[in-house]
Amino acid sequence: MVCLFVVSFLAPWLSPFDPKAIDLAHVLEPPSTLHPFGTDQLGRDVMSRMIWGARISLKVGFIATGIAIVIGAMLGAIAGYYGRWTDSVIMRFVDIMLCFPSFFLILAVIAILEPSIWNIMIVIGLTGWMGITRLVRADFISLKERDFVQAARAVGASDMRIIFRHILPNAMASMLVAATLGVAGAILTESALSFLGIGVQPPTPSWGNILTAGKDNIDIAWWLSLYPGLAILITVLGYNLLGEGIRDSLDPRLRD
Amino acid sequence: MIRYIVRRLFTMIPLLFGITIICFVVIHLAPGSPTDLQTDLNPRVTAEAKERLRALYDLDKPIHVQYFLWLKKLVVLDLGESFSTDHRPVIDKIAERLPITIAINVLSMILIILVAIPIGVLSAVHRDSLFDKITAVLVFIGFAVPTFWLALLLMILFGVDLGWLPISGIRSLNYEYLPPWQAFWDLISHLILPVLLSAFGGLAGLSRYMRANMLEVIRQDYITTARAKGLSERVVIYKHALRNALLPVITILGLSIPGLIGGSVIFETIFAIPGMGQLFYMAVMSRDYPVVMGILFIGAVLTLAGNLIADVSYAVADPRIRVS
Repeated sequence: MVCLFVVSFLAPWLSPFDPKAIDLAHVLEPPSTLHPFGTDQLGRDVMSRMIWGARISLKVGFIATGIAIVIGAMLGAIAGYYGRWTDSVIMRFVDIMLCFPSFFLILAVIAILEPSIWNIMIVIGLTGWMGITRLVRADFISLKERDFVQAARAVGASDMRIIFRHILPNAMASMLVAATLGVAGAILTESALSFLGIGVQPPTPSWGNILTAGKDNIDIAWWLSLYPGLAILITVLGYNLLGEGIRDSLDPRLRD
Repeated sequence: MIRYIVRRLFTMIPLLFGITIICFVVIHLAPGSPTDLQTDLNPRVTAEAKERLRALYDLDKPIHVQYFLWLKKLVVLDLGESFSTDHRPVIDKIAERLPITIAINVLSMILIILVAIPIGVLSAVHRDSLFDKITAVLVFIGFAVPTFWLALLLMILFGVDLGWLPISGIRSLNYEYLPPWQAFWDLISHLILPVLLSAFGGLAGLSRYMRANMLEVIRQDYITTARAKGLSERVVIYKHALRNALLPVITILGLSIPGLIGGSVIFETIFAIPGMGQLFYMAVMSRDYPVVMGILFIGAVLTLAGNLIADVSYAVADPRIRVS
């Protein structure tokens, strides 16, 4: 995972070739010492494209999850803290949003907006906050009756101050786990969208749209399909394991 | 029981309303007015004619009036006409493609149940055994594998290299000339990979969940009681524990429906299966908004229906639910 960060930050220096450089003399070449992962249908170096693709994937993963966390935490905090009808309205809204197959909702919005990296981040974020709302709300409901919150209220702290300074930091643990798993999910969604051609648009490289080239050349160029998928697999696996690790270390009940 | 179902149906009404509102909002995100499509390319259209056209489609009315007019059409399943050249009603286009999508999803659901539950039970019963450890690793990988990539690899392996299975469509070109059993096999062989792959995503989650459930149940007092009575371990596990651990699985299956339906876009596009997912993909690519909205709405309704079925079957299986 650390490697991945290093790779994506150093993409301009690490990648052996220009990821967008077309070289029609070396189209669909199998892996060799010059091109370790082969070349694609336009003669571009697959390894360089994957290194640049790592940047895109991480960017989408983090920003989309960031959006989801902000919306989810806000709504969850308000619902859990104020309770009563505010809570019912927000939670019904969550129920309604959960009725939509999220991939359908994402595709429908992308169909209306233009597919671009920014739109994808926003849409993935806007359709992925419901789980976090539920988590944060549950934490708030149990935390708001605690003594330290009562004490804060007794000294006259405003609602905003109690929510952000006293309760939210205590709800961080479950949010952190959800965020880590969320990054993994967002990367998967982005790659699926790019694979379908409605995500990151060529010539910008993304792991998903290299796989599209893999599908188009399925019977002649296996390397186009194999390596980008492995990259996605390893990245998502990394974030999932990290999330599980954080959960285990934060939850004393699981330590036995 | 009937009272429970009726009560459950009533709680669905506000959800259904919410779904229609969200669909309506998404439609209105679309840039420009639907009438632009008919007027933009015609230089002789005057501003007055545009207004008349807007009035014809009720676009001059306030937004809430537009919503109710749209809702009135929705109640009789009038989802409008497709923007594509055939101009067919959206509902017809969806209806002819829905059965295959549902069939594939039901098949993969059955496959998930048949495979994931035994895996979960076995790894819980033999906790920390080699089997448990191997499945734990596989489950983690299963969570992380992009299924469309797995689909590509399996297509390369079975379709291209080995040539065992067809990789697109649901029927061969010579389907009509095959004898019945060969035609049947033709259909099955086309469905193997799509069903297998759409089941794959759910397998990891359910087997993990089943394992956790089973571990929880085994710790309960009534299991200790059953053991104390001198029942054999086999009876304790498979009769007393399994039944109780299976109950919450119904809910999980209900919750997995949106994922399965959403995934159908990917599989049907990869394998060129003429289902609702592929229609959705094509509609998105050609910006056929009425079809996009129609499928978005139908997808949400299917999810709602799936949840209802899950809740009702849970109530059938567990009498405690009905009372509370």
